[in-house]
Amino acid sequence: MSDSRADIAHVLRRTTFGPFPGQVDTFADRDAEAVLDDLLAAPSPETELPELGTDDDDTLLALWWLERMAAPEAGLHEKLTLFWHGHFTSSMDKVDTPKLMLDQHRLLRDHALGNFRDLVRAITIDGAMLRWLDGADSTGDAPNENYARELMEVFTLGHGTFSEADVRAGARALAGWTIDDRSRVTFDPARAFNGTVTFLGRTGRLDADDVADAVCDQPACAPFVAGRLHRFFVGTDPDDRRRAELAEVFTASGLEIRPLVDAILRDPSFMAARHTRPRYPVEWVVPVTPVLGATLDDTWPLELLGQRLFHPPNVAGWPAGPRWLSGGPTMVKAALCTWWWDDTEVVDHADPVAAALERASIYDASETTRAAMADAVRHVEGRREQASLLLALAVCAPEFQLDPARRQLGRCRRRRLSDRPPRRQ
Amino acid sequence: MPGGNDGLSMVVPFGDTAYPRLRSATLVDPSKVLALDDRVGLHPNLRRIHERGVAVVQGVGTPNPDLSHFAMLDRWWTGDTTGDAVPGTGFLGRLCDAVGSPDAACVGLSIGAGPSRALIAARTTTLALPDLDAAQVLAPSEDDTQLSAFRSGFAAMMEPTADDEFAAARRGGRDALSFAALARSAAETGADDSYPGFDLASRLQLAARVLAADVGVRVVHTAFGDFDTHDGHVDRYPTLMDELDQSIDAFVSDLEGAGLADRVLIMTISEFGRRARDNGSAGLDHGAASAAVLVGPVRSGLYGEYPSLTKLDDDDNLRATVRLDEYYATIAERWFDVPASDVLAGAPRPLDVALA
Repeated sequence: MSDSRADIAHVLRRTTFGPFPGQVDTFADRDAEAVLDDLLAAPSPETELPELGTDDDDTLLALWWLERMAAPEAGLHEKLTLFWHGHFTSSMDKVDTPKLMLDQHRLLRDHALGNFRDLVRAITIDGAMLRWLDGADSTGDAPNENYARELMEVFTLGHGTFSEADVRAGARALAGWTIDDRSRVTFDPARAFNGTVTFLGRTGRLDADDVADAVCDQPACAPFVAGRLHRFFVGTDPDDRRRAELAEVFTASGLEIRPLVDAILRDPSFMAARHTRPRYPVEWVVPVTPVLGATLDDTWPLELLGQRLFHPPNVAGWPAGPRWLSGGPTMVKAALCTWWWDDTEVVDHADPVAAALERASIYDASETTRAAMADAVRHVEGRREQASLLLALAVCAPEFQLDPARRQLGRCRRRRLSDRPPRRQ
Repeated sequence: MPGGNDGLSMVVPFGDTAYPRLRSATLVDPSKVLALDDRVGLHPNLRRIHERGVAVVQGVGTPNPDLSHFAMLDRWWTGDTTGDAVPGTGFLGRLCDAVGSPDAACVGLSIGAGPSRALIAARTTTLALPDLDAAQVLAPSEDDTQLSAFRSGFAAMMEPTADDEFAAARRGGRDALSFAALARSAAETGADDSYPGFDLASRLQLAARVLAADVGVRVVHTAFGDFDTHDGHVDRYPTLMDELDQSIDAFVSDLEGAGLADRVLIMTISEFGRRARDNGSAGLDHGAASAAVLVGPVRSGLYGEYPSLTKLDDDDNLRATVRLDEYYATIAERWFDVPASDVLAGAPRPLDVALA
């Protein structure tokens, strides 16, 4: 018996917003490698963005995006769009104009699996970013340092790789880009810096494209970006050797994002990386709603969980890692499940515990989790109440936040929905 | 006060002739400043705090400033003044370990913004609380059979096992359960409804209820505002000061009503101050030395030394006169009676601030 359903679930969990109920079974005749091949080969979809009416705000955008994440065809491109939103951050809290957030979202979608240099050039003069990091108010006479600094420190190169003089020079080179009163980005030469600057070793009358090129050409750039993507998919930072390997792939391709992602996901370290990368709140909410039979018609659950789309808390976005497993989010997940459980469909099975785990795409749950669920359900009567209870426990289980338990070699515990009652242990 | 709080605007050197030369667009009107002596005073919107009495720590920062939010936040959270040590625990977490009980459901609490790095502790439990209602789901009344069954199943799932691949997730689950019980008793304590409608005020109100429930919480950490006023400083800063002033005033009144006011010290921190000279577009870039305030059972006054407005550092920023670990040492020793060397590297000396 192979590990295949657990492996497929692992791949889907890391590269899409699922698995959704029953989704793993649709790959019944394939293995995880084949599923990964398909995901990597899928072309980036052309997505039609919503129209924004005068009263519409970012909530509409967020709900639209959550629907896109839940669509069956949502794959790697969708996941990368979320990654870039948390990387090249801008928050509606400060940008305050839905149209600008929508334009930025379109930009991130267009470049998500494309060329990194093109992405940096575009985001540098993006309207939402100009407002978020104060480029729109920056002038040659009074240059605002915010974007120049964060571009280098947080977006492309990392702390300690540039000087304060570079920050000042970058700010001057970028000055002049602004937003007009119809929320359109324009360049006003009268606001630009009139003179020569030296930025990251490049001297001249530099402009925004020069700034973007200079950061991309820095030796620190490829390893920095490769490290960020590695952490996002694998859950840990790459060691120095691996980081250098990935940087080489990225550089050799001309800073194309797709080959870099390919190199990260095809490496054995990706399939072996279990329990290393907790779900982000968005990655919890999107599959949980169909598992529980709920409908997401507002964004407050994500706010409570600490990841409100289009509102990153600061320029560093939403950090990966164990904070999503801590007491606060865990408490909120428990609350959400119980608030949603009136919406649960009644599912009629001979083994409700197994059925609930299956619906949550948890293959090979730990004994602790199984026993806890089996014991809890004895205290509740009524099929609807039992189903709700078990599904809530399944999506709060550690296996759902991380990955299923490591399967012991030689023991096959695969269960299928069938008419046969389960064997007594 | 995340983002970098402008010490020059909170504690205004109105008597220094260099001040208006540095601050053209962002000058605070000297005639409106709440004087603390003939040189220095509080921002006009800190009227209530001024009336209650406040200890001002001038010039707090580091001898080797970094202008990065993240680098400086790390130093403040971990209590590492120069950025060399990078402890694994947070300064507030180490205080919790020193004064709290390992058996308490929660000794350090972060309200509103998610888990706080400052509260990472080795022995005691520290938690982040997003919302009081959400917290109580895991402490249901026994009448609700389904919720009780959920709670017992949840608790069973979160029990640690010998070879625990899920240690972090299960610990999070157990913390959620402990805190649910705490939240339940805090909710039952009852609240005073006289707080203004600011974010900071609602977080402080929650803090007051948790403290009144007296379940072992010794440190509460919360953040408000975005102080990163690269632009719009003139409009944004007075609003922030007003939020601080009204929220703290309501909080202290609440604590007085609960008989707790002499047991709670309020302190502020920010990762850095702002550039001495304004940037001409009504904004201020990242700076270095700032100011901090202490409210509560303190002897009012000015402590430390106001940074020189003429002898600036190489980035045109104010030079600190008090190290952040000296400020922290003051809290550790003068408030908590914990030797500074127990919670900070290098045995920094506390300021001579009288904290009851």
